[in-house]
Amino acid sequence: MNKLEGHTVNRKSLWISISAALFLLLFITANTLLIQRVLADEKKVETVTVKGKTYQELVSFDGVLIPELEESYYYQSSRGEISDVLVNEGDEVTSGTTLFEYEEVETVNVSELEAQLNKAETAVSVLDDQLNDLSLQSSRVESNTDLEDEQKLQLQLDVEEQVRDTEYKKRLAELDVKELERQIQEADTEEIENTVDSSLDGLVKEINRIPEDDEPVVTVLSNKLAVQGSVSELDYPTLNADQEVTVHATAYPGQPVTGRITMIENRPYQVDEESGLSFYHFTVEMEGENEIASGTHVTIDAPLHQNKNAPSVPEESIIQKGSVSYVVVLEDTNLYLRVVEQGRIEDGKVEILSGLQLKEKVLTKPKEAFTELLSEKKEKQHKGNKDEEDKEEPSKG
Amino acid sequence: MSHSMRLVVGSIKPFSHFRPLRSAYQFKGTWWRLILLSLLAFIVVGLTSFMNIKYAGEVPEYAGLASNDRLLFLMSEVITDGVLGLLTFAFIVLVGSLLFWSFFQEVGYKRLTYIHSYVVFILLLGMLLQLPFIAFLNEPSLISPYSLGVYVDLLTNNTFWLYFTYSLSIFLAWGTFVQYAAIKQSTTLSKGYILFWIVTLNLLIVAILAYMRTAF
Repeated sequence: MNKLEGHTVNRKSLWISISAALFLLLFITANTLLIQRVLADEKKVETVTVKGKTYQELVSFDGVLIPELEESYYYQSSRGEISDVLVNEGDEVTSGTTLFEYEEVETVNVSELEAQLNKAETAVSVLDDQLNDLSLQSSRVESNTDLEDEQKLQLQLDVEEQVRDTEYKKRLAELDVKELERQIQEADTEEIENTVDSSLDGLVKEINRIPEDDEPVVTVLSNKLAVQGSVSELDYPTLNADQEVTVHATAYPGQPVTGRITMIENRPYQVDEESGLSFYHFTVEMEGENEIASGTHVTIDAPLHQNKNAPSVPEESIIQKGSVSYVVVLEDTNLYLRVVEQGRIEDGKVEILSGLQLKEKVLTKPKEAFTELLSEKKEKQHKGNKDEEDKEEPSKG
Repeated sequence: MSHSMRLVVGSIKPFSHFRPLRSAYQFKGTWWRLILLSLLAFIVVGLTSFMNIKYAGEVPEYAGLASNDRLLFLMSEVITDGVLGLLTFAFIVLVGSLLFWSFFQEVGYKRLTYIHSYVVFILLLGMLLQLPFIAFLNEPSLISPYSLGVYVDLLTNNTFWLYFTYSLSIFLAWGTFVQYAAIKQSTTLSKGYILFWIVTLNLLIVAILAYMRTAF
């Protein structure tokens, strides 16, 4: 009985063992197939391409928006008295709008000149006709067979004298025509210059209706705005004309405007009593259209030590050994350790001052053990080169 | 009464092998087997590292090395990984036993380290059997067909979960079974208590190791 029970237990455990083995085999086979078909992927070196990035330090200055231009139109007593100022303070004007005009001085009567011109032109025409008649008369004398040769000669000489006289009169008449034409043109020009027009689009700021000689009559502010910044004598040397800047206004968040410094004054407008520092004005011309109103206070960010399109790599790509920095460069399929000069670090990116070119490929995160080996290789090469140099030197000596 | 450390027998027939463990006050053949186990751990992990680099492309940079530098690189990697493997198994035995000791004080710390040596042996066996798959699948040892990680790998790329689930292998289950059998024979605690804490603590150790591998 016990033997039979033992036999049954053995058979049961055998079946369990076979089932478990089959299950495990199935599990391993299925996993192997999954790895082979689905999970297997190509192992590649993780590299990053060296990209260009602009590195800069920003220095901020205070500024305010003012009209870009302020144009004053002056009174010139040599042009006579001002008859009328045609604009008022606060008026909008455009380029070409007449601002004021001078009284018309006693000028030449143009219509009278034109009448004289007509007369002179008629005289030229009459003299032309006379010259034609004289020419006809001369040919008749020549062809008249009834006259003696001596008579013919006498008559010809008379005609020629009349022709010379008439041509002289005609030339004088033509000179009169030219002179009259010049006078008429001059009279027209003088008439235009009696008015003074605005040369820019803007707003009339100030009017002086009874000016002295060389005093402004009308002052116009342009619609186009510029930024007037203020810089202390300490930061003065860091600014340059034509330098690019960014303008931020607290009243207009998220709307930075790019601009360019157009002028830096060389005389201070203020000396601060507390610090004793001199302050200078500089002007920024803004690019494009913007909604910022005149009088808005702004912050001007000027980049310093700007390095545009500098080769840049992630911080993890750099291997630091003592004071020397390295990257691992991938060229074709080979890897090389290269010494680089590090600059600034910004947003996890390192500025490379020397040792790398744009579009080169470097290892994203070089493994420490691996780079140790590469550095040894480099040192060996370096040592090898040095040994060769040392050998060459005595032979030269 | 004494108990002889017989790793193969204990792994195959744990219930009968560990029956006398409770009453044993002396352990025979432990030291030289532990030294042998350490050597095996160093060799197996080092070999795994070699296969990972050579056949599974675990360090793609290896291909970019000059041929005369490759051997040096392999040697440095194999030795480093071998030592790390040795430390990992020492961690499993010493720290793992410490964790178990909190819940199985009746068994004793010494006996628990003794039991954990069998688990390490089974895990090393698993690593050894994984080696042909590295060359066959061209995938590093992490991607093990013996583990549940394959299915999790289809769902996520989270490194921690991959390390964690790829550690949940047939061999870990086998090791857990041996732990259960050995502890069950060494204590009067209930089956449920033993099973619950063994599974929980093993998962905790696997999670700690996965976290360490992810973090470093």
